[in-house]
Amino acid sequence: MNFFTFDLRKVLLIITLVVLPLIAINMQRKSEEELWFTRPFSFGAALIHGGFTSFSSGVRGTTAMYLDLIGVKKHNEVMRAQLAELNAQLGALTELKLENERLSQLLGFKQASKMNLLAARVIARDLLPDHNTITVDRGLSHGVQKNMAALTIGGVIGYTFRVENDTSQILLLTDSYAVIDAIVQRSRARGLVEGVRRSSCRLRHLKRSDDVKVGDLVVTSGLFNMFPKGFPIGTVTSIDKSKYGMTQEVEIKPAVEPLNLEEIFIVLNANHQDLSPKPGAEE
Amino acid sequence: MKIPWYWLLSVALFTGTTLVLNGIQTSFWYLLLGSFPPPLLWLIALVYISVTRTLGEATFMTYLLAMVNSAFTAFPFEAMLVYCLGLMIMLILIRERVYWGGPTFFMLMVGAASLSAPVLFWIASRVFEKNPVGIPVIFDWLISALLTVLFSLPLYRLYQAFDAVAGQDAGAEGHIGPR
Repeated sequence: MNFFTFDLRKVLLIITLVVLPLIAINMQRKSEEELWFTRPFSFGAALIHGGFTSFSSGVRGTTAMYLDLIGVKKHNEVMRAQLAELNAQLGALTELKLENERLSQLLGFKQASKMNLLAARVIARDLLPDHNTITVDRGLSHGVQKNMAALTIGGVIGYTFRVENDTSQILLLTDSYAVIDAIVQRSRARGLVEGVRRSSCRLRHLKRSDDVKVGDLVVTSGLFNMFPKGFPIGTVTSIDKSKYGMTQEVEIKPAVEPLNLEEIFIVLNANHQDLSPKPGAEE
Repeated sequence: MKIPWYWLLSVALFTGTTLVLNGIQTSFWYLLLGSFPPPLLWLIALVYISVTRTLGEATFMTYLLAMVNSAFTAFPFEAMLVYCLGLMIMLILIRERVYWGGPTFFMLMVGAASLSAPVLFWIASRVFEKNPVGIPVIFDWLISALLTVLFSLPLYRLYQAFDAVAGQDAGAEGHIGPR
């Protein structure tokens, strides 16, 4: 075998596999210098990195947004529940505030009055829509008896007609069976107030010559000490004087809407209290 | 003499139910919904006995109903009795002319009764009373009638269940209706 006879391809292979790498290792190169042939790859790598960075950032953003939405939904539900609860509390508080105001007024009235009053709460209405009665949560056990007056700060409501141990039924002044002795405050003309319908009543048995005008206040007469004297019943809204009759009929709008009340007073003893205005008091 | 226990049970159930229904109408409804017109639940009871009972039994139960009702109103017992009997007779007369039974018929009867009852009351008050009641408020009257019809179906089922318990289901329905 001739030493100098060699295969060129083998020599190139040896150079490529062994010599070039050894030379490359041993070459001194500044670290910041980039080889010319790796530059395109670096550029490509940078592009790909950038692309993937944007993509992953988008994915992260979308995922985060979705996760946030779940969180927001849950948070929203919690907030809604809290809002509903707060609204309910607000409603209850408003109701309590109004009740407190009403009760304070009633208490003030009771303290300022000479009458022996019993506060009662309305718990039921009449079975028949054509009759106007209410039932309250006070009865015989609280000292209530039949034919005791029922009133509130604004005016007369009616009187008890059926009393049980713990409840009483009150015939409202607007019921067709109710009769209350009354006088016209200005002229002292006397008559009987009878119920007509839900929001009106009538002053009957007034003499034809009696002085009554629209707008006159009709008050209790204080007969038999059932009602305090001079307590408002209602205001005259119309007068019917027939041509040949001996009497006149007067329509009255009650001072209070008795069917809209929640708390009332039962007069255990009116103590002959007279609430008529004293002469010269108006001036 | 054999005591009709089942019949007495049905009467007791009817009376108890009427008491509870009247309580719901006058108190529970008012405390819950205020002045919104309530259904006339007592009328459903009256229609039921008028539709499903014989004349004698219906009369007896109408007496009971009037007694229960008069405890919840200013309307006196005697007047209530006449009013309820009048309504019952009217319903029985309708039943004798037109009858096909079942809930639909019952609801129609309740509708007729709840629409006519306030009118009859108003007419009777005009005729018999010195200080008659005012004209019924149309809106309240219609709402009340509508609610009464709506409540009549569940109450019909309830009364039927009571009748089944008290062995009354085969009672009047077998021999009423147009001959």
